[in-house]
Amino acid sequence: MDVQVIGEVTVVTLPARVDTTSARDVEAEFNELLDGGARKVVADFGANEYVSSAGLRVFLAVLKFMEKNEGRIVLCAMQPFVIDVFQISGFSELFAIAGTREEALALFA
Amino acid sequence: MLRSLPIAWRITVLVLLGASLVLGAVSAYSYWSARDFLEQQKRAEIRATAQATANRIETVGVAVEKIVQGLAFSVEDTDPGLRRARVLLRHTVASNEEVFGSGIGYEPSIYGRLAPYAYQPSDIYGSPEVQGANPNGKIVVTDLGRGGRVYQAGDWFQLPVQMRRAVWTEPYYDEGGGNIVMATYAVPVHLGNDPVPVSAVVGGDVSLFWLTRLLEGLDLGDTGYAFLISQTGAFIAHPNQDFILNESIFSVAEARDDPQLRAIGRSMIAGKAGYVAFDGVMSLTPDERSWLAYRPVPSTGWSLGIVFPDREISADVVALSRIQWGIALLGIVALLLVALFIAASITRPLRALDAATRTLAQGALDAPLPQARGRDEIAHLTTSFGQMRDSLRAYIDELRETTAARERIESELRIAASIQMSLVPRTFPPYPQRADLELNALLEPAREVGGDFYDFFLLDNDHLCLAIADVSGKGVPAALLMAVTRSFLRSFARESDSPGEVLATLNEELAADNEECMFVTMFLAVVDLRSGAVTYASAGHNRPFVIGSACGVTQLPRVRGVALGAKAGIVYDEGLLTLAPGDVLYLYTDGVSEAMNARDEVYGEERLGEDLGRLCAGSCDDVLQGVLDVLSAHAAGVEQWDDITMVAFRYLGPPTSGGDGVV
Repeated sequence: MDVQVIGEVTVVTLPARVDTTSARDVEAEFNELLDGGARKVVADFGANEYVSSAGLRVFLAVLKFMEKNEGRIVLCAMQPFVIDVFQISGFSELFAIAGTREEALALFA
Repeated sequence: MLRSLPIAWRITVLVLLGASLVLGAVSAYSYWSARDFLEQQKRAEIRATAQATANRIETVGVAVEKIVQGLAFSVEDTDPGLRRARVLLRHTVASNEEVFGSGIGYEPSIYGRLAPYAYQPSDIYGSPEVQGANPNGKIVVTDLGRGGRVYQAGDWFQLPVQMRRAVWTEPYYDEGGGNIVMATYAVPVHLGNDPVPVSAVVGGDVSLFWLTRLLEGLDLGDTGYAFLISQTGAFIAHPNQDFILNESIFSVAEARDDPQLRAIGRSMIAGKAGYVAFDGVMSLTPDERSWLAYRPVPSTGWSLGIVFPDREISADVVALSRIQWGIALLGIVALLLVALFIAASITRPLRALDAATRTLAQGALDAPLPQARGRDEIAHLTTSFGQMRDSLRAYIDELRETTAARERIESELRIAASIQMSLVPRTFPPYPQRADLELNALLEPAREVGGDFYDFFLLDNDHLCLAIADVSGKGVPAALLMAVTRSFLRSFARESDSPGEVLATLNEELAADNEECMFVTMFLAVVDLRSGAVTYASAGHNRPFVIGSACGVTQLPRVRGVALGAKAGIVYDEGLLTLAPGDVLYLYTDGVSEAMNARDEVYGEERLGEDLGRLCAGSCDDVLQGVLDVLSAHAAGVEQWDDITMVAFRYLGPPTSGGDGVV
């Protein structure tokens, strides 16, 4: 998982698949970032093709942490299938979702 | 056979075999060369003994000849009277020990029977019988003609008279004279003007007993012996007393029919020397294999033979070789011990390793291995073996751990699966007495339980509640959350006939204290069985399909609603739908729509809709089984990752109207 820090914002590029297996790694890395003080996070789905319910759980956990700790996570660059997953589960209503990374970064400006 | 022996023994046997061959060859060679050498030495020794003995006898013979010739010259020259002749004879015998006796035989026709004779019975050359009778060694002077004895008939008198020269007589027994076996050297003399050519015969005797004793005194080993034969081949001296004068070398040859012995005899009496193999002359039958060295005694015409058995020549060699073989045997025993020691020290680590392997083979992986000493092959083997043992131990430990872990997981999976399966209704048809509905459901759990469930129950006689849900996560936590969700659902659904309210209440319960951020997607519908009207709400769940009785397939529109437990305070919109008799409401989870194949391609809602259209003619069960078959074909052997859960509900029309929904 690629992590970039642009200004105050930490941009995380998600792997191609966030399924039951890889969700644990993704969660661990997010926890590391959050423990490290990251409060402005952009999750870039540009390279991501699949998110399972285990993956959704990870993002939900990050979201809840941010809500508790005055932080914010913005999702961006989602492909249609992934958007479907978020929409079907209703999670698209809970998250701030931007079309591109730039739009996402702009939300923190 | 060698292969079945321990290596130490094999090495030892081979070393010993080799060493024995070499030792054997060396011993055999040295045996033969030593035997050859010893034989030659013995031969030379026998020859020398024969020569020396012949010379000794010759010396005596020549001495006697000279003495007698001197005496004869004296007699012929001085013609002594009887008194003087007796003095001469006594003097001759006294001063010459070789001469046993000496006498003068006068021609009876001129001097009457007169034969003075002197002899020395106790002389070392004398006879044993007489010796005992006259221990003083005095010389006895007698007359051979006394008492009318016819001495002139004896060879010693007749031969010189007839041949008119000096002769050695054949050995004879001198009865009345020395009374022993003797040979006489006799010289004819002529006195004065006697009318006969020979007036008297002067003689000197050699005792054959002395010769026998001389020959017996020779050192010829245990069974070697010497013999002496006369000019005619008669035995003069021989260890077998019966042979003396009674047998000749030729009579023995005759008795044995032995031409070789006859030839030897001829060669001997011809005065030749020789060394030949022959069978001995101890008896009248062939003796053992022996060697004969013979030498002539020229003065008397006799021949001396020394017989030495082959066995005794070999005896020295045998003794020598016995020592050699003894040394060789000791050497081999020493070699055996050394070879055994070396072989044992070579194979000791091997045997230790073997013992360790046996212990190890019985599963004692911690058994100590022998210490690898040095850098030879066995040390390498031991080291490699130790490494193998360590890897094996590590492997077994790892295997044990993974097995334990897998068993734990498996048991968790079993628990989760049994929780899941115990919570869904599984009796179909569920309402066999009702003619207004057909209902079937299917839950195909993944190996690792996904937490799917479905539920249905009659709220009252006319209202049926249908639910399908997918709990996030897997395994026991998912199964537990599923159990909780189902209990809440069952209790809340009875308090309200609005699916949206029920979901909202459920969400509040599940969102509270949801540290794990688990959530549940759920589709909930309440069917009015009188009219076919359906009220539904969805908590982030996949949109169900409606299969029309004419095989038209439509997917329900989206209604807003977030997955249960994600966040509190969510409002769930409701949708409305009216089923015509025969229509099927098809609910499913993402285990169906997101089933993967080997190329990571999802089955997809689109294809699901198409396949449902093809399956519309069948019963609810046919629809579910049909989709399952299609999924199985799609996965083509790829392991099912998520639970596959489906519910098919066919509305058959109000019970009183007797609708035409039956397909």
